[in-house]
Amino acid sequence: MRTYILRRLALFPVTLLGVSILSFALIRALPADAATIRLGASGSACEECIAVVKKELGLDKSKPEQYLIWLGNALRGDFGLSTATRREITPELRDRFFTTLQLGLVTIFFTLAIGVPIGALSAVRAHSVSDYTARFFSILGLSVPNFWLGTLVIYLPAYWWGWTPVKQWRGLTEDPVTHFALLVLPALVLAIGASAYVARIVRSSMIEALYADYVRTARAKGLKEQSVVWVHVFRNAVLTLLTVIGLQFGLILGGSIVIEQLFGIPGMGSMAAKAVADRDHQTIQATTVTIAASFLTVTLIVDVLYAWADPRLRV
Amino acid sequence: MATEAQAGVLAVPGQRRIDFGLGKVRRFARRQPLGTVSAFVIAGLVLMAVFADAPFMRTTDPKEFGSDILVGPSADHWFGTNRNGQDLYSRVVYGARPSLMVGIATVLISVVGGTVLGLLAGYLGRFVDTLISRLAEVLLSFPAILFGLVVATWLGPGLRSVIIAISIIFTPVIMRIIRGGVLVERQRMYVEAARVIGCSEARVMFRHILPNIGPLVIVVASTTLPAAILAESALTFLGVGLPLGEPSWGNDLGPQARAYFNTAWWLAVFPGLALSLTVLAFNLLGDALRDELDPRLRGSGLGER
Amino acid sequence: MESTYWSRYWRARIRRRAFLAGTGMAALGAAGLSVGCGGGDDDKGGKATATAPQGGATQPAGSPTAAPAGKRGGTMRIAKASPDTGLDPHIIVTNPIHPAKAYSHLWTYQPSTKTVCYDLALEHEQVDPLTLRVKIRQGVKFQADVANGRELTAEDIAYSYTRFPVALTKGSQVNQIQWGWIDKIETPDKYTVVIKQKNPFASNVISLGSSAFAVVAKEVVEANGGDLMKVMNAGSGPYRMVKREPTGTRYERNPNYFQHDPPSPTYVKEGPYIDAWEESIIPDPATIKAKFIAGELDVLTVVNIDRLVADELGREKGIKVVKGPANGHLIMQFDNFKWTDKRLRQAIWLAIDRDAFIKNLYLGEGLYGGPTASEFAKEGYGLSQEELKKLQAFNPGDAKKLWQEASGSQTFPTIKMVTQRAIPIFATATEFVAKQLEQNLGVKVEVEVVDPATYVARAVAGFAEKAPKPWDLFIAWELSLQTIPDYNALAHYVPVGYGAIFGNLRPDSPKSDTAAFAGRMQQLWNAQAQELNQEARKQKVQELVRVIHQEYGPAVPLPVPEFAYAAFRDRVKNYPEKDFMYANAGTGLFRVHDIWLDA
Repeated sequence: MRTYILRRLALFPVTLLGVSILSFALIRALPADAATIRLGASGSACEECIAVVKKELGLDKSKPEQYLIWLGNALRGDFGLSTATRREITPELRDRFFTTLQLGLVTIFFTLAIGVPIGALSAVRAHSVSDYTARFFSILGLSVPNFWLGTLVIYLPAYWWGWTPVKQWRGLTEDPVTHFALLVLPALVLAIGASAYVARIVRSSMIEALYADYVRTARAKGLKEQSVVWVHVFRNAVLTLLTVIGLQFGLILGGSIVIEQLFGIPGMGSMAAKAVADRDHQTIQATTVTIAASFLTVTLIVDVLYAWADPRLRV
Repeated sequence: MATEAQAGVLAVPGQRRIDFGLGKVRRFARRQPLGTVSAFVIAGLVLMAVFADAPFMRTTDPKEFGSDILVGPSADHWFGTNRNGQDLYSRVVYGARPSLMVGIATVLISVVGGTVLGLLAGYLGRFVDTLISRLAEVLLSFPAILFGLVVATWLGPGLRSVIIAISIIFTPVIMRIIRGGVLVERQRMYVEAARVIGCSEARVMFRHILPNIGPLVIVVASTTLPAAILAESALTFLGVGLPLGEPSWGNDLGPQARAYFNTAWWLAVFPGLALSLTVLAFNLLGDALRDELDPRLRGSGLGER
Repeated sequence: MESTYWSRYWRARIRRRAFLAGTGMAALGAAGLSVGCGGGDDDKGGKATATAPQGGATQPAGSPTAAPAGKRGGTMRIAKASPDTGLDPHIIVTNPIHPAKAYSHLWTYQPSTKTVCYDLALEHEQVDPLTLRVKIRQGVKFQADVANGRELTAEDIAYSYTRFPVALTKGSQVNQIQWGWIDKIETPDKYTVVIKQKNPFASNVISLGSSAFAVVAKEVVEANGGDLMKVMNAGSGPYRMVKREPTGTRYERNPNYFQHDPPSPTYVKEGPYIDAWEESIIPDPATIKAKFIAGELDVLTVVNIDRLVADELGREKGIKVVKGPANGHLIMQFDNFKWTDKRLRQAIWLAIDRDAFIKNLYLGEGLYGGPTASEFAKEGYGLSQEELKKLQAFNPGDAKKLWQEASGSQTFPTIKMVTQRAIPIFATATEFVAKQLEQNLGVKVEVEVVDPATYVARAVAGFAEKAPKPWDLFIAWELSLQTIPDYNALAHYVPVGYGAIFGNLRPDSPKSDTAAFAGRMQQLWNAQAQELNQEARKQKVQELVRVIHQEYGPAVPLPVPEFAYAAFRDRVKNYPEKDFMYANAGTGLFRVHDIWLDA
């Protein structure tokens, strides 16, 4: 077990390095850099001006050099100044990270709250009308584009009742109640899609387990139906569920851009999207590495739990 | 080689063959009503996309600037018109094309790519596995939509970049799943048997293992397609993707629909319905397939490393 | 406040005028015309002319310290899609609201009434065509935490207005046209500023009214490494920025704000009415609109609202919709490196059905592009709509003939156009024009739709190398700046503006025809910019516009919308109904002092 964990941990920095190099290369492959944008937008493109701005932004050095400088700073925990706004990245990134994290946690909560009951119901009544209905609605939630759902959620109340869920943003320390209240709807919108996966996993794991040998044995032994279902069957599902949750969490961390934009949530997703538009190299590097690190951490935890439970899978 | 052919024909114990006889189809239709209906819906959609400009569809040029601005559904315009006077019905019909193209192309690229890589990684193990898995991990930990955004911006607007971007995002995921399945199959007797009689690695992978993870591949493909369609619409929402004028469901749900939401409900409803219906159909079909083939997937559970 | 001869003089004049006008001081921003704004009378050679105040709250005639018309207090809630990129007023002009609130200026300019509204200044005089002399108030203090709240003097103005060349090296967006005419600034005494000009400039006073000409405290600039990009407050404006975060900004009243004297009847001695401004950053325009409808935002302007939305909102309770003159310009730039054959340019010119353009894109509410805006054209700084319609007539037959005659399809087997997605009008206009050209000229057109950053890069490509651009036709949209009768529209047609950078119209172009054309356009431009006599200037601007039409270049003016719309909740009073569109681009003509909130 320990070697497994250590081996996985050792690969961590390798992957992160890979991510940072990929991100660095990609951003610089984009047409237009921050200097050109700043000047070009006002109709100035004189060479000295561009040279000065480039120097200020550190874009005048060679690419490998730029990367190494970035790496050196990042290892010390300093993500530098944003290429676009010249503000320090680290404090803002930290705040946004926690916001996205909270959004993720609330989403996971709702995902489980919706998905598990539906999946369990489907499994216990497999191939019946309830099963089909449950599966249908579950998948329906998955099929509607979430930005569409989000728009409806924001718009319709405004027109019908003169109210929107998008209020003035309040940080966690400012006003925790409002803060969480603001996260509820976006989390629900995200959860509606994610819960379908959960429901499906729960359903298939439970079905598989319900008809498995050891369950038959337990039934034959005379154990009550309830305990059969919950103790033996659910344990089996939980493992697979863990993996899915881990995956979902990782996806949310990196993929909530759309929802953040819609609901005006200051998370990492919108920071990253804006940075791409502004060709803000430093911010993009910082956000991708942070998101990647979180994703890797989550999957590592999940895999370790999984491997601890099932030694066959310590590949 | 004769010996191999004989070995194949002899049906080594434990090896399962996939049999696509009519009986299977009928059984599917009986046990998975939702899935069957979806299959028909999909067929209809594909036909609609292919025959979009046929006279019987009664579509007009979806990019023609017309003079009936923001008119509601009527005899002339079944789905109404948009801000540019374009017939929404035509736009929705033609809009099926980019969505389906993105879905199909992405599936082809990422499923084929992912399967091949998964086979290589799962079967060959060791160095190959490490290499492929590490690369996949790098891509996987890269925030997906951001990656799509950057790649699509880099490659410029258009279907091609969207397809490439989405395919690159999906391939590692699929690779992982297939790899998981291969790892399980690798333990089985028929693999051992095939190697004993001298089959080359390639042969074992593609002629023996591949058919047995067939159901897995099918299920993966059927879930990738709708995911690709949704991903394309998300990228369009974020501003990369097809140019605004092109008929595409993602575009039609864009700024216009949301700006005139209150007064022109049809702008949002029809493309939204079309998109959701398509994705729903694919998802239901995929779900039904998975349900049917599930027992055979035991041990290769999705989401596993 | 010492009572100088001048202040008594002005007070007397205004009293008389108010008496004569009968309706007294106006409640609109035109109130700036009244006491606080000296009116910029004709006899002083200032650019602005005084016109009769427009309707609004009436004043008992002749009383300079009248009771305020509005209520004090309240927080104004607005929203925008993306945060500012920097706070330095001399560098970033795309955020004009900030300097309008946090800094003071010599004056602001009101385009709708053509008046100069004094802020720091007490009077101004064009001593000779190259010298502008301004007297400023005494006792104006910087904000409490800026330079210890010391007094603002002429030195500060001189320092601020000579920062521009330095700011340019930091990537300043303030165009040279706005400040390039300033040679140096002298300060004969603490409260007098003398601006020496390099050349006569008819719009110098208007130019100085831009929010870019904010007065900053030298100490703060130096303490921050030479720029104010991250500094929230470095001036003496009516509001202080207290919060700046990715989710929004907040301004609160500056308790130290100097008192205008005599005070304007629409804003009290203690400073502006509104207590605070709360601006939220909401990336999605649909969400902004939803919030406005739900009553959580007070204003919805320009970018987020067009006629259809305005109609819809007008039916809602508690919302007021106003319609004002639009000030945008749509220009289709030629790459003047390639389009040297006049016949080809003419073919393009004739091949666009502008009436259909207006009908489709502007729902029939559009005007032929001048290029100067219709407001200015109406007074003579441009051509009339009738004349423009004739000069921009649609003639596909001739267009096709010319195109073939000049072998257009050989020079341009495919016409490449570039546009961006972010602003719908760009993309739609480009597609419309592309279709027109395809239909009417029988030529293939390829439209590349890119993201805004790449769009900018494409626009300026080729400039440094004096090389052709990666496109053939390029549509750009300009919101007018307030200076010079629409210089920003004309700026695309002359080298010194954007003509050289965006259009390859440069006097040193390797293509001799283009070089000659560029030189000519520059000359015409200089002639009108330096013409101080208004009537003569009008003639010169018209000449410039006519030449553009005769040469079918260097760019094609496209039709523009006729109106801009804004919506605000009933509680907002005195919002500049005729000038609100100027609060958006780099104009900053926005006076925040006069707006008040009812409840």
